[in-house]
Amino acid sequence: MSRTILCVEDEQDTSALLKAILEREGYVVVRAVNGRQAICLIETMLPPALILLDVILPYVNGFELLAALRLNPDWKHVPIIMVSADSCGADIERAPALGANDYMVKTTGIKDLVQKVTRVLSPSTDEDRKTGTGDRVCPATVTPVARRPKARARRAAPTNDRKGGAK
Amino acid sequence: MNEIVHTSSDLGSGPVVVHVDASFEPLVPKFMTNRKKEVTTMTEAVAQGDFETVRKVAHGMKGVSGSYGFPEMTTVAARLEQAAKTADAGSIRNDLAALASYLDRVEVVYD
Repeated sequence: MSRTILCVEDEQDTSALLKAILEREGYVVVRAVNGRQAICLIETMLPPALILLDVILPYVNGFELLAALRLNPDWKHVPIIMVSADSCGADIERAPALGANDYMVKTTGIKDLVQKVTRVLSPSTDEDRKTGTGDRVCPATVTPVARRPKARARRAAPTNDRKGGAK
Repeated sequence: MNEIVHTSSDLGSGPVVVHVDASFEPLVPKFMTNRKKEVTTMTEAVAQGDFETVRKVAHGMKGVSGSYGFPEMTTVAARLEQAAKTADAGSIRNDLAALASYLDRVEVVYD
């Protein structure tokens, strides 16, 4: 079964390119063109295997969506890669602090998209480690999420046959 | 994904050949059309003193042109974005003219 990726990107040509690249790799791509549409999808669809989330979006920006996703009990464990046209340090630091698993710069990094997606989605032995919530992060690219609450029961690791995530 | 072949810095003045992965060929015509529309939008905006529109459109162009493998366009779009922040109409007009010329000259080769 193919894995589903939710792509939240308002720039239509970028969205089309992301879709083409990911579909070529065998993923099913669902797209939202703004923050409001993303929120509707969050309320209606099963959590995907991964979210590509643009930083600058109409109505609700990427960081606001990121924070909301990390509070949603059904979606908080979905890996998220923030996507931006900017490579400024502030956003790159802010992304993992709010719960993103990785950050990709469109201007130079889209060639790394497949590699980042594969790395985030692949269960690894040495690279992955769980936070206190049981979430998986990739320490090679992401600073540990400092804001996550500590007093949570450990959850079982996400498996490949998770709803919407199996390939 | 792409390889750029040109003879001068930024957008140059002669022929420009950009190599694109053949699997993305269906996307490129619309990409080019939309970039030309954006140049028109920014030209009209700067004429009206609407630098916010120039900034937003340039920001979007910066991201998408980089994604598609047009680094010169990315560079100019970034410069347009900065010029819009400082309301530098002269610089914006110069870059928009160069960008319009570039978009007319660029030839995409699918590999």
